[in-house]
Amino acid sequence: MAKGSKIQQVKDLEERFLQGDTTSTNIVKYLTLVRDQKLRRSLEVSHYGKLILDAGLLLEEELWLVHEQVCTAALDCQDMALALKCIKKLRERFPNSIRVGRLRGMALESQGQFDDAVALYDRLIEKCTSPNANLIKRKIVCEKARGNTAAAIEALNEYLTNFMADVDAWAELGDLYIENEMYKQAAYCFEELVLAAPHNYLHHLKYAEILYTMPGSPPERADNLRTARKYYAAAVQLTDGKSVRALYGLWASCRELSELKSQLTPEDETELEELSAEQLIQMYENLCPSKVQFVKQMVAK
Amino acid sequence: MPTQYQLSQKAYIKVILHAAKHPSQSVNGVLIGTASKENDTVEIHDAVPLFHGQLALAPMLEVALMQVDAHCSSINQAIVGYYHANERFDDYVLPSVGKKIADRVYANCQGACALLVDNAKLRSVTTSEPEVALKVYTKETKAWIEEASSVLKLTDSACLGRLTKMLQEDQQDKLHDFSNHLDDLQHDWLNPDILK
Repeated sequence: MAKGSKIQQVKDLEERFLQGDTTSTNIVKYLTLVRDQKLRRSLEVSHYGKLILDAGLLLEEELWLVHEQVCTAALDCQDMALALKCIKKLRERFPNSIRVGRLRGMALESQGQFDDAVALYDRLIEKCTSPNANLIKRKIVCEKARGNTAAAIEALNEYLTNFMADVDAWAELGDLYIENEMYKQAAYCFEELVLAAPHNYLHHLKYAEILYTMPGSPPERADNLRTARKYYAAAVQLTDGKSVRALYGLWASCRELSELKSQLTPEDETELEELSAEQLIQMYENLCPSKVQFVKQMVAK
Repeated sequence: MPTQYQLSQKAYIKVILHAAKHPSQSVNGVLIGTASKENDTVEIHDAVPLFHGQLALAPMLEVALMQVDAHCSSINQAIVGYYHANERFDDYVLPSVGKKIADRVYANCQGACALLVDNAKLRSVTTSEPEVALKVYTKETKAWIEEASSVLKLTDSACLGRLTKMLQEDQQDKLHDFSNHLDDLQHDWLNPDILK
């Protein structure tokens, strides 16, 4: 899978850095990969990013992207000196920039000064001619960081009425609902995500997990488990039977459904429970023999 | 007389390493050990890190608990506790999802405790005066109540210094939880070599 190999390239570069191979070509390649894959590698990015900025070798087009990237990473590591240095340079180069303003807000956030950050975001929002998604999302993050989950949920819902194609926001909202045990609402979010990207097995998985977790009366529970089973099966198919989570989920939803004896219909009869168990045992025998016994005990009838 | 908990070096180190590996997310896991007959002393020998990030979904949790149970039976021990670390620094409450899992552990072991990583004390963990960065909860009638920290004792206080060194060497990257195991079966959730 293409994405898998990009992540591997990132890991390989990190290995090289640890061995002292910190050429600027490698660092630039690393920073680009991390940006493209949207990974969170803040310690490495701030450390090696600082080296490359100090060396002064970057060209204009990359220089400011890297300043922004290193700034965000530095904030994540509480390296305020480095973050503020980046912001200062960015401000000199791009005075009155909303994008730099957002970084200034994030610096306030990382110091716990949420009121000041929100006030700054509000001032910046007023300067924009059209709604600025990034600034609105920063305000939502402030609510989340302060523990105001209900307010964050409300604000995210409002945001999505205007920016309904933002899949990251749908996923964030879904996760917030799950944490608050609002499973029906979480399910709705993940339905949107499955629709938006039907080939992405991760959304099928999460949707199935929500349905499995959702409490309900026995008939509701049985229906949810049947649907969960379908989505787990889809995830197994999309991953050619290689996803352990999907296989476990498929096995578990079959097993759980079979325990609701009063709700079973003839159509519920399936070989999926056995097939997924066999596949799992096979994979464990190849890759994790020390735990095969536990899996066998678990799947035994 | 409240239950006394003895926490082994291995268990304490694994809990804090797990939290350190995922600084921007919640993490959780279970504690393995033995409870005395009257449940007045519980020895916590080991910790099994389970998940990071999204902790509130049931299916993988159930799979994990079944297998940890099987492991416990094979070594004549039991799941005697649950641990949790919150995502936000200033969050000192054991959340509802944590209490639910802890309840399940309690159903099988009435001496069970819930440990919450104490974020404020985490700061001290890499200094020359590290503190035990845990809050202890036990079940009183229907609620999980915070106990005085004196009910939890480390069996070996040298583990504090050892943990400091391990964190300075970024050893937390070597710890694998059940979620890591699901992504790659070669990652062992028992982490047998973590203290070597």
